[in-house]
Order: sequence, then structure tokens, then C-alpha cells
Amino acid sequence: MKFVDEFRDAQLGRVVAGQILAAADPGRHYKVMEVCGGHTHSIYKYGIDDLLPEAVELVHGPGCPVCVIPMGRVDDGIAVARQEGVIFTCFGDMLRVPGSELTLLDAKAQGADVRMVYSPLDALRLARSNPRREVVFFAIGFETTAPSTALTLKRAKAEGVLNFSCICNHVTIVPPLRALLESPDLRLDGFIGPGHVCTVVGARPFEFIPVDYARPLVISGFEPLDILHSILMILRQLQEGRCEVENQYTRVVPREGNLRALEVMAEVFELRPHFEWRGLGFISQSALKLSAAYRDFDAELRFALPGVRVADPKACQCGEVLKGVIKPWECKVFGTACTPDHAIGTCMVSPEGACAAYYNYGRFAREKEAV
Amino acid sequence: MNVPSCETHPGCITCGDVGVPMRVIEVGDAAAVCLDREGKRHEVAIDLIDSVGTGAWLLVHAGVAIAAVDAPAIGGRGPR
Repeated sequence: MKFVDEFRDAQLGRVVAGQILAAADPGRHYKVMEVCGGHTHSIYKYGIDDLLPEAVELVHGPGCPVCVIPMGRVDDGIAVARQEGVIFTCFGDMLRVPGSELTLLDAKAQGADVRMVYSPLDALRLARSNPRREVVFFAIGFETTAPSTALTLKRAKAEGVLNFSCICNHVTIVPPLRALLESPDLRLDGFIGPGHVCTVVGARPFEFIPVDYARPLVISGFEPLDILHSILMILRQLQEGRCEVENQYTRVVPREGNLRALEVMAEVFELRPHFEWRGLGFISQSALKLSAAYRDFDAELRFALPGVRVADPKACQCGEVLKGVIKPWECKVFGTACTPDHAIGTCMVSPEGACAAYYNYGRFAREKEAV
Repeated sequence: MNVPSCETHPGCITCGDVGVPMRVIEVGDAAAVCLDREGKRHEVAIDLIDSVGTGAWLLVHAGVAIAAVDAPAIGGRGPR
């Protein structure tokens, strides 16, 4: 398929891998973080790490929208889903994220009307066709997904679909990156930037990384050749003593982002003063809530939410995995108590989670053998 | 109208920030009919794209086009 197959060419992949080998100083160890969970998934699906020299280590970042949702927010969703007359909607992976006692899928099995949607627009359609029911959309995701929620709410307001509301858990990627860069226990040499987030926000929000922290960032597409090319671009920046934001994903990402999407987001959302990230704790101005103009569609105001903060399970080390401090297989419960079929931590739920990516693509066995 | 779902993809493509390139075959007021990789038809909201014409390629996420895919860039910007 156009825009896909040409970026999966194995022969070209081997050529770029050779260029990476030539660009890497064998006496140096490079730690490169892929910010986005989509990249993590591609890296293990296509075995990209197997093509890299030992000097280049990929570190997984916090960019999995499912993985960063704290248990208390899941409990809030379940509490709303159980209310009489509610049709509760969310994306597929969110159904399996553990709350303190249940997942949304468990709540569904117990009788709650929980439905998977692919788009928030599908949830709005449900609201239109079920005018006597309250349809609630549990919104998650980074800036890639936030525009679709914003557009949906704008349509709901324009059409007066008042039985539709949203629990907004949208998060923004820059604050956690800044928190990671401030972290004393993490040394990184460069970043593979989140291509689809940049489609919306552009390159500018990431310019603080080379300016304030002297680290290169290359905005990357998600096909294997995209990722290999981005790693090569990072190594070349380091080799040439440059440090800047570069855009590998030029076929999709304009430097200024999607201005229409940013405009709709600015109308519908405002920044929360702080938001809890699973494993990372509270981060200031790192999440979105509905603006005053959209308060009639804010499920957090329409329904009573427990709002109880729940500590992560002690055995789970998702926090360290999300920060790139440990590899998934170094977690005590990885592949034993915590598997994709019975996830304790969120990183094992979504395929974009680093633990699930390791597990699903056979890294589990390989790493254990290495130990 | 078929939509990409978690049942046919390893995980939820929306949760995974997956953007799907699709080709426009019909343009309406706020939505376009597009074809995906398997030739399935999708209704895609095009409110966030400046101008959309038949034959254009869009990057689609959660039923909404978030970017136009720039065809001329394909040959010259890759690692070849």
C-alpha cells in the first residue's frame, strides 16, 4: 500500500542499518528514547533492535496513553458506567486496564452497559440514537487523539446532544518529557519524537529539548524504515556535534502542526493545574479538561465521581518502565504474575505498552536466556 | 460501513496512536468516504483538513483525518 509498503522494504532496512553501524562510535554507548508507544510496538514487531549495533540502546518512553492512566481514574469510569441509564463508551484497550478491583470489561460482565468505540464520533452517534440514555465517553490519549474528542464535543454542542458527556483524561506529552529530562536517574542521548502527536502540535513544542537540555530529537514516522532513518539522523547529529529538532516524518508532519486541530482544542479544552500519571506521579499542566464553554458536556460535573487516588500495586514496576529506568523483563512480575491475559500493570495491557510489546514479540524468552 | 477495530488489529489502534493512511474516494460536507489498506470503506471526518479532494491521501486517527499525506515528499525524504 502507498505510504506503507515502501517503508517496510527489508533491503533498504539493511542498508540503513549499515549506515547506523558506520555512524555509531563503538567506544560510546548511546541511549535513545522512543517517546511514543507506537514506536515501541513497531520496534519489537519488526525486530528493529536486532538490526542495531550494541552501542545503540533504545529506551522506552511514557507515550502510551493507556499505560499512564492511574487506577483511580479507572475506578471513576467504572462508577459512572454502573449508574442506571448510562451507556459508557471507551476505546478498546481501555476496557482491560485494571482499576483497584475491576476492569471496565469486568463491570460490563456484571451488567454495566460498557461499549467499545473506535471514535468518539461513534459515541456521539450512540447518544443521538439513544436520547433517553446518558452516553458517556471516557476520553484518553495524547494530542493525536484530543482533536477527535474536541471535534465530537463541538458537534454535540452545535446539535444540542445534551445526553452526551465526556470524562476527559487527555494528556500532553511535553510536561512528562521535561520531567524525565529533569530526572537524575536517567541519562539519554537523544529522542525519537512522537510523529502523530507532532502532526497536531508541530515541531515547535519540542524545541526546548535541544535548547534547554542539549539533546537532539527527530520526529519519526512509524514504519520500520522511518524508525531506522530517525535513529541514523540522531546519530549523525551527535557525530557532527549538532543538536536540533529534525523532522524525518515530512510526508505527514508540517512544522507548524495542524492549526485547525489546535484551534478546536483551544476552544474545547483547558489545561488542568495538575494530573496524576501512572508511575510518574502528579505533573503540573500535563492534562486537559473541558473548558467553561463546554461544562454542560463534562461528565465529571454531571456525575458524582469517587475521585479516590489509588496507589499502584507494589509488585508492579510500570513507573520505572515508563521512565525507561528498567527494561520490562527486569520487573519482578513480568511474564509470571503479569501477562497480557492477566495484566497487573498498564504497560502489559496495550500492545503499545513496553511490557506487552516485549512479551508479544518474544523478547521475554530472549532476555531471560540472556540473564 | 466498516471501521478498523481492536478485533482485527493487535490492540486498539486508537489507543496506540496509530494513524492510518487512507485514500479519499468521495467528498461530502464534513466527511469523506475513504479506502484503507484492505480496500475497506470508511467514513472519515474532514473538519480539520483545509481542503480535501478525491484521490487525496489522509492520515486518519479515531475516525478523524488529522493530516493530509504529502505525496511528493515520498521519494525524496526517505533514507534511500
